[in-house]
Amino acid sequence: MPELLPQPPPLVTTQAPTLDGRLPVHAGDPPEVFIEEANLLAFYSELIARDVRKINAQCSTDAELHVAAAAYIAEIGSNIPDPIIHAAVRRLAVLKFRTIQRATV
Amino acid sequence: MGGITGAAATAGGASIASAGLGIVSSVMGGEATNAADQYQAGILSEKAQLGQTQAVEVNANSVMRLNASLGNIDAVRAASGDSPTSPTAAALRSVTTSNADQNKAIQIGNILSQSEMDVAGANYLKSAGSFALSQSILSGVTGAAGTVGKTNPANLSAFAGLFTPGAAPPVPV
Repeated sequence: MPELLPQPPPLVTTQAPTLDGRLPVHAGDPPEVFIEEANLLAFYSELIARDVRKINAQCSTDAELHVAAAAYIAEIGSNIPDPIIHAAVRRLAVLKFRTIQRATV
Repeated sequence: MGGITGAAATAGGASIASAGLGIVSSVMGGEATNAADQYQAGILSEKAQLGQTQAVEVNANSVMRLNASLGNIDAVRAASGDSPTSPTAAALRSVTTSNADQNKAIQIGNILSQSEMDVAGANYLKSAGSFALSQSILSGVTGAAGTVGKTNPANLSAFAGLFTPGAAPPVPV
């Protein structure tokens, strides 16, 4: 009767699942995941750039633009269950506000 | 003699009228400042609404694309046999998660503090408007009191007859 090897302890993942029960995009993902993520960010980038131009056109002072940008960034991507993609979309919006504002000034 | 008394009376009357006008103009100036501050607070609130509305629109318009991407990611993971319970993946996830959590905490903290500052700014404008109004009333009253105080009482003697019953009115020159 062979002696049974001790069983490894159950693995406890430290990463909390997303709102919809998925695991967030992580470094151990295959490259295709990152390509898909990049495509999604490119899609968001176009929408955000359009919005940033629209908001820029409707704000006549820096204070107005600042308030509108803060509200936009706080709301954008709030429905994305993946926290990594959510953070990336927010960062993208911040970047667009900075670059487009700088370009138009 | 009568000419001098008439001129003094005119000067006294003018100074009182000037004090009254000072009160009115100061109060009107305060009201204008108050209105300007309230208007500015309203504009900022409107712009915040604009930004939020645009973001909500993007969120709504991107739902289908987002779901497709998340579905593709799941499909790629399943096809590559990536197991969420693999020790290597768990270790990488741990580092990535802590970094992402830190970034998120910083970003959210910045956004919250910014929105608090915006709210504080709007509240400041509203209270500044009320303060300007009350200050302008106080300033008007003080200015009027100063003007009356500087007026020579002798110049007002010509009006004495107006307030004494039975006294003869001043004779115009």
